[in-house]
Amino acid sequence: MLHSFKPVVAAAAFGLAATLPQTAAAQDNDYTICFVTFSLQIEYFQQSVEGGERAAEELGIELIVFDPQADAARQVTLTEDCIARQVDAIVLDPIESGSLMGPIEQAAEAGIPMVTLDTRIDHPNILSLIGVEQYETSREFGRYVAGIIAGQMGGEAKVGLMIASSEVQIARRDGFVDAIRAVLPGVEIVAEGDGRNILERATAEAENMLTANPDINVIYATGDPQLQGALAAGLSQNRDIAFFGWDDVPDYFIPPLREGRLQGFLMQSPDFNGEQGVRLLVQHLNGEAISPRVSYIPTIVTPFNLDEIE
Amino acid sequence: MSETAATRSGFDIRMQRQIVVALVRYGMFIALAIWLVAMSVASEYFLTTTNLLNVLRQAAPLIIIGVGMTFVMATAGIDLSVGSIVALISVLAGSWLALGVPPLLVIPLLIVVGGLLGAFNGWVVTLGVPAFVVTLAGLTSYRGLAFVYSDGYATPIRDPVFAWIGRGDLFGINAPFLIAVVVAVLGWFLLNRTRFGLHALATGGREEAARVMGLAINRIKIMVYALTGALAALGGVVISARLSNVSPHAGVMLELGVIAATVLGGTSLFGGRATIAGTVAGALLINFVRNGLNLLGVNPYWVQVVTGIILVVAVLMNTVLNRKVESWARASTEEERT
Repeated sequence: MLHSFKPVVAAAAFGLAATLPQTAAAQDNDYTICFVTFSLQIEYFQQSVEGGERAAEELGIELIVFDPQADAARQVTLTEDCIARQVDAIVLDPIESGSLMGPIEQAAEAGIPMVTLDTRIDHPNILSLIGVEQYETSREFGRYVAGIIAGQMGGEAKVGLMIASSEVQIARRDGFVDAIRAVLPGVEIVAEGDGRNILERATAEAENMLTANPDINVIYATGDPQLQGALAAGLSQNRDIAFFGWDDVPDYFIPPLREGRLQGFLMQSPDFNGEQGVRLLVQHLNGEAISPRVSYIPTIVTPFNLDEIE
Repeated sequence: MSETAATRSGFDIRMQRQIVVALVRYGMFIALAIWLVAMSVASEYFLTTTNLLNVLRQAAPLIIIGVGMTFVMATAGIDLSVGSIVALISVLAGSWLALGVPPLLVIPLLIVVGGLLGAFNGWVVTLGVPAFVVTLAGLTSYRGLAFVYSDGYATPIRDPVFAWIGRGDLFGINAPFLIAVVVAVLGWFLLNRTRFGLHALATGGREEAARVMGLAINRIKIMVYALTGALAALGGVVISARLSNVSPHAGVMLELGVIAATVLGGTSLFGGRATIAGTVAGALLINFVRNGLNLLGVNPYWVQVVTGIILVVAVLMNTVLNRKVESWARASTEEERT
């Protein structure tokens, strides 16, 4: 195969030998799938990609993973690169769903099917959505939080929200706020901080929020870096706050749960999302019908069910 | 040198000298050409219409804003606020379109807003605050304004005019790149064929001399920053249109890409030397490097490393090597005369 020698020529010309991909010579019969994730700085998406890589290995296909580092424009660019590479299918974890319409249209014209993880995009070329319902799940979680506030705080609380202004996390915020407002009019949302999914920033933002609002006694965080940052800020200021939040990072969140600092976190299965994304696309490429919606009910890990989950 | 010159014919040596000087002077264009050829050989997906049009569209905002940056750097200034102007323009575009303002009015208004933001930067620079500090303040505060104005929300835009700017085409060439070409041609004319361009270069070359000559230094500075602000706004329109989405996150770190493209092209950070064609080549090289490595399946993090290395090598060529080669060429020309 002449093709397999071509990258070597380029590498020799530019001294890029170290950067040569191991899988440069893909076999023609195999499928190549692009996996454009959200940001690999966040553990949630690392696990999602690991799930995808596991499925790819089992199915014997080539998986190309691209990390747009939470930049919507870069995600569009990388998706366009996938289309130019004429991959067989694309798994997409949208950063801003509106921005992806162009490349989705382009993929549709090129006959490249897609699935999305976590975020819904309505387009005939998006064959399936894999992941939990963000708004509904957060509303469920909100009801659990409302129960704690009603039972332990007399139905009144000052709540601080730590979010990242992404579509997914804004939906989680809205679901939570709607649930609390529906049952507990005595609860006040006193502050909202934007951690932008960056741990350093989330920590600083949470510290400022707690300093500015000494009466906050409940914090709800809509993603890992936000929850971690809020926990760190609460600990450094030695505050008595009930923390609740997302996501699936047991390593970080189980000890605080044991110590009583954290009252609950919502455990998704991001590796399930990544794995299903790849599997469904391969099934589709093999001519099988696939479901347009693949979801599961995530677990809320609390001090009460911790032992069962571990 | 004189020994070898004596043994060969004058024509040969002049030819050789011209080649060396040209190699160094046009190094960026040669590098771009070599890269394009190598990638065409290395990846069967590279030299396809889809891919080339994709990359030209991706490079368009860098070219558009880079033209402005070239003028700022010609005056020995720098503008770090362009990425944040893109974000502010993006959210303004979204809200004005949502209010029902016709897009053909929205776009000129946005460009005026960008121009005013840039003019404000320039005015503060003329007060004596270093451009780096002024525009660093712009970088944080303009993006802050974008977040305040939009509350952090990204919103889709469904306007047909914007859709055309972002994804439409004319004669098979996509609209963002066409806009970039028009901006680059006008920028080239302005820099090389008008008094304004000459004065901008003079300001950057030797500001005191330019002042003594009676040039209106302050007015020139305000104008170059205003131009960059206006082009950042146009770039913001193109970016929002390409994504059919407005977002206060738009253009994060874009200023660094723009500065890299401009410096890669051969424009001096210290002013006095500027090239629009170089900036265009720099913007294309950055995008083609990224695209080529992506198509080859190289770990995308390497792209950042490689881009950094290319930047340093290019600047080395543009400054140190270029100076050496040109003084060598001048010296041997003089030797020949004597």
